[in-house]
Amino acid sequence: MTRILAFCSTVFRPGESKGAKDYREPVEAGTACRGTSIPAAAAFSSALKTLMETRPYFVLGDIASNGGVGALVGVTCAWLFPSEWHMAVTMIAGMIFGMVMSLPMAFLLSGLFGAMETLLPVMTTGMVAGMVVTMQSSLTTMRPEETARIGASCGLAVVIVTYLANAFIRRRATRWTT
Amino acid sequence: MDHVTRTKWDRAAGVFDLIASYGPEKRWEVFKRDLFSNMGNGEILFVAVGTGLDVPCFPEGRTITGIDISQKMLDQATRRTNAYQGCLQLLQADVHDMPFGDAQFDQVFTSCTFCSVPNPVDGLKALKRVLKPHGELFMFEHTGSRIFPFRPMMDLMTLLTRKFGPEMNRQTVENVIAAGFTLKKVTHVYMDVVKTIHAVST
Repeated sequence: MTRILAFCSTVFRPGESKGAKDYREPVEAGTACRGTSIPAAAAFSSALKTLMETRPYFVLGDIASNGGVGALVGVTCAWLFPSEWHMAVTMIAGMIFGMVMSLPMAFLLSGLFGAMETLLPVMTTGMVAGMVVTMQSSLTTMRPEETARIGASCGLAVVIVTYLANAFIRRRATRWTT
Repeated sequence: MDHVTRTKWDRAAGVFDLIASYGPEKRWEVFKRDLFSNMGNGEILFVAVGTGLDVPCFPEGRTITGIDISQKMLDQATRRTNAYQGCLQLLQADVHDMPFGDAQFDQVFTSCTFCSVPNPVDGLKALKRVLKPHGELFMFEHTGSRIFPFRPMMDLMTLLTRKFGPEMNRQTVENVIAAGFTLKKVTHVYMDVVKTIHAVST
């Protein structure tokens, strides 16, 4: 276990272009501790912090923003698009409507929880929640609280996926540079 | 001076802090401090100082010239720039037409600037002109994304945001190369969208 944690602390050098020349000394413990004796658990914790957002205000803000917008989009889409429509048509309509509906909410929330870190996940939540809820509602009759729950679940799923995608991209920065 | 861009940012000056001063700044503060820690002891140009949100992240005791196209933005920045422990001079100027001589600065810094410059490659070439040979360019910028569904989303957002503020889908890393800089390092802050860029004038 200690070896795994120590390996993580040396491998997780987030956001650096691996091929580029390093021009200054590392400033943060755990981001570049190859060959040093930082305790493994502390190194892993530090690596996690540099890969992902761990500040409670922002983590809870991301969850609340995406969950709330997902629930709102879910309820609105289920109410707006008739269940008699063909499933493929309602899914596409719900996806586009959800993305457009979430845009102004994303702009408002970005002032509180960060610009791109809020805009992109919240719009993705709108798109996914609109698509999933309209698909479900075309298959079966749903109560508003059910559509809200599905929409909020989509929001939480988007938060998890974007956190993981962000960690992945920052770790493999060279491929994503241009 | 580009009057369209100046008018756009003059209009935005009143609400800019309301939109950008809390969430985005808190989230990016640690990355900006890290980038600005590269400020050396020579002559430094900071492009698009805006309302001075970045000033508290500057290391103390540096000699910095801050420019912005909007005088109203600079008026808002006065409180923050007055509190800076160092030499920080503000000047209204367009990055395309800066009133500086060739090879005047050792380093140039930008922060969310080239999402708003109308001709980014020309603007970067102007920065290259005022930089000394082997002078350094440090940028904190948001750019377009290659990832679906972010790419179409950012194109959609740009249709709205370019009317009153920045463009969301700029390819700033490519623009830096196109302007004749040599890339030294690109660090990803969020996804492939928010980046710090270190380039050298050659």
